[in-house]
Amino acid sequence: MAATPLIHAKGLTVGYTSEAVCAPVSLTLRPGEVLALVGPNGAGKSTVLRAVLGLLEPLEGTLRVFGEEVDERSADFRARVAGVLDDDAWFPGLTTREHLLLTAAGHGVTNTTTTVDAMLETFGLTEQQHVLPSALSSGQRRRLLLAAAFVRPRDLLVLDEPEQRLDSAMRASLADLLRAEAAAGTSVLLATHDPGLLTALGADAVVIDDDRCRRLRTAEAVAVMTA
Amino acid sequence: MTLQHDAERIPTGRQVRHLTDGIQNARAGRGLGSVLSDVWYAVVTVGLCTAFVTGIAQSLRDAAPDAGETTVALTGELPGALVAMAALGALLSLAGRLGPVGLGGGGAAWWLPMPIDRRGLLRPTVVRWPLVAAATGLVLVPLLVTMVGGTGSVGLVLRWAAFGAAVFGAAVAGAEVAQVHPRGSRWVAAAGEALLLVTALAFAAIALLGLATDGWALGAGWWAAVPLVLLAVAGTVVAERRTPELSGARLRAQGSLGDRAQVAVLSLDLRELGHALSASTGRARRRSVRLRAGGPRRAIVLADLMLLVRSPRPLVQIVVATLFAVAAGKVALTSGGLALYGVWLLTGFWAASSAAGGARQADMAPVLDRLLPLSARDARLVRGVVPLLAAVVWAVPTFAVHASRTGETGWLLVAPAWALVVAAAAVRAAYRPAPRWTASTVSSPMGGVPPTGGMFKGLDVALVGTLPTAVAAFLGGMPDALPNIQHLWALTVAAVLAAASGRRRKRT
Repeated sequence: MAATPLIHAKGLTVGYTSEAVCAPVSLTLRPGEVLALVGPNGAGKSTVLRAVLGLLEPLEGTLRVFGEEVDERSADFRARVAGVLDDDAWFPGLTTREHLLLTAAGHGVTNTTTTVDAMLETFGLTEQQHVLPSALSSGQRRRLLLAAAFVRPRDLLVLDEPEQRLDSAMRASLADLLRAEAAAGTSVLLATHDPGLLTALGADAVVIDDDRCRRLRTAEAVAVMTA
Repeated sequence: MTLQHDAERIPTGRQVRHLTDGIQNARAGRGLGSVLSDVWYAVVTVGLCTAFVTGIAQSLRDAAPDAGETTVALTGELPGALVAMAALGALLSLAGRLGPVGLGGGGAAWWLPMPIDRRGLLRPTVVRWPLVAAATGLVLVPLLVTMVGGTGSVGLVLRWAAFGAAVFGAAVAGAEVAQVHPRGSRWVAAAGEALLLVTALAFAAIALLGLATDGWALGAGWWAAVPLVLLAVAGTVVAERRTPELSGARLRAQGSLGDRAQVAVLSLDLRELGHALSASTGRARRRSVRLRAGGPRRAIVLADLMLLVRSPRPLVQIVVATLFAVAAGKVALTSGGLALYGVWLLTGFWAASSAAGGARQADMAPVLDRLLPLSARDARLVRGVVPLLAAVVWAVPTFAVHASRTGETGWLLVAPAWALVVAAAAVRAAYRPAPRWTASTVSSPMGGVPPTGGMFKGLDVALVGTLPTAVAAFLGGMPDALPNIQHLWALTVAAVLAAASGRRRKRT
């Protein structure tokens, strides 16, 4: 019997006013599965991710996460879903390390120091751990945001173009990390423009466009992205 | 490395807030000494403000014109109370538009995704706004009552200070309670604008009908404010209890808006403040119109008109500005001379600016105008049409009433010139350059702020373009030749401005 889907969307219509930004989206994501959203700029990928994270109310259709309607106000929902969007906001007086320690502590992590040390190492931020975010480069700030998603417990990881501003080596590390996540049972939903990342993940992709939305295998999706 | 966690060890919102603040304060070198210093600073500030308001009230009482010798009709507590009510309406409108509860910047990005209780996290934010509003009412309300009514005593100032603090605090606490409802903030903003309109109407009606307001006085002592204080406290408690019902998206959106407005105020950037206050965070019902082909100029004017009527807010502002300008001649402090001229200048600029939303949008997204087959200068000139219409709506009744009051028709004749000048000023203000954050900041009590050379852009044109009227107001009468001089002067200023507009901005 197939596992219960973590995300089930059917005819999901999203938008910022009453206007839909893309065609209705239908997708299913099961535990331990990686699924990508691909499409041109402005296709509505990030908007769909915001709806999954409960930051945007759907205009129409069904969206269930963990078998329930999305309610970001629920602490249980926030405990299980880690999201990395295109936020670029910080506490001006907290260092890189302190941001991660705060995140870990805020989620009830008990081995905060070892967890944070490991993620600083993984994301190449050990040398910048005592630096304020304002002194980091944009790529380093992006790594900090990604690291924050990995220093806390999660059942679902939602990433909006995680490859942005990362060098090729870090993109490869990210692909390894995401594959390990899936192997450990965490589901990953990401929006991406990078065919290389999609290939490395070997994930299915939902292609979002103005007039239709379809689920494709990796190779087919890469072909669409590179066309 | 295996991540270990225990749901029982998730901290409270209060603990997370304290932890963050503790680290930040330690890094900023803030200890007990600096907290005590802040408390001392607050005590001294409140003391100085009280002395300031009392002093002004005292001097106004001494300088108040004798009702038997002047045309002033609005004296006593009632007219001041009406203006204070209008200020309350403006405050409610602001509270509705800005939240009031939100969490911007680092808090939105790093606190909101945590599975911690939001009640404890947001408690200081919920408590802060009613307190800020109460402090505003404490100073503003007695000042308005004494300034407008031309009357003042220590007892009266203290009484109105107590009422002002209680009412303003209770109003913002109520706005926080309403915020939990999806449309609550919109209702609060609408209620504020309705209150602003109704009190401005009442104020103007009393002024125009010449009703005696001297006999009205607040019968109760300062203790009558106690129930209102209790209401404010109860409202804040209810709002704090209902905080968990606010969605993260809402908190982020309102916090971001609040951050923008706060930065704009601290950097004295009126342009950005206008952008922040006109931004919408919720789903808005949009009316659209099919533009008939008629050329780019017609398209711009129709689009600007559409923007003007999309929300009742700018229309309310135009009406309120007109009503205050009409009634100003009956107020002790502004019954004539340069003070009345100052009221005309500010209300005229306000009315025209309220209708300049199209120009502000075009400044934010210049690509819109570039799509049209018009030069930058022509586009700006056409963007002045709707502000001109609003300025006419303001100028004609304002100067007609003053002409009727003084018996000098010359005042009415300057209305078209004023409409032209304030419309030009509004368009200039809409295209005000953004502050240069890359340049050296200017030291201020609020910290480093960018040099905002463009802060008074727009108002400068209104001031220069109406100088002949300023002379007439100073002289206390309208010489026969002055309307023509004012027209010629206004046309010259507008022509110079039109010739200079649309030039490429010098990049620094």
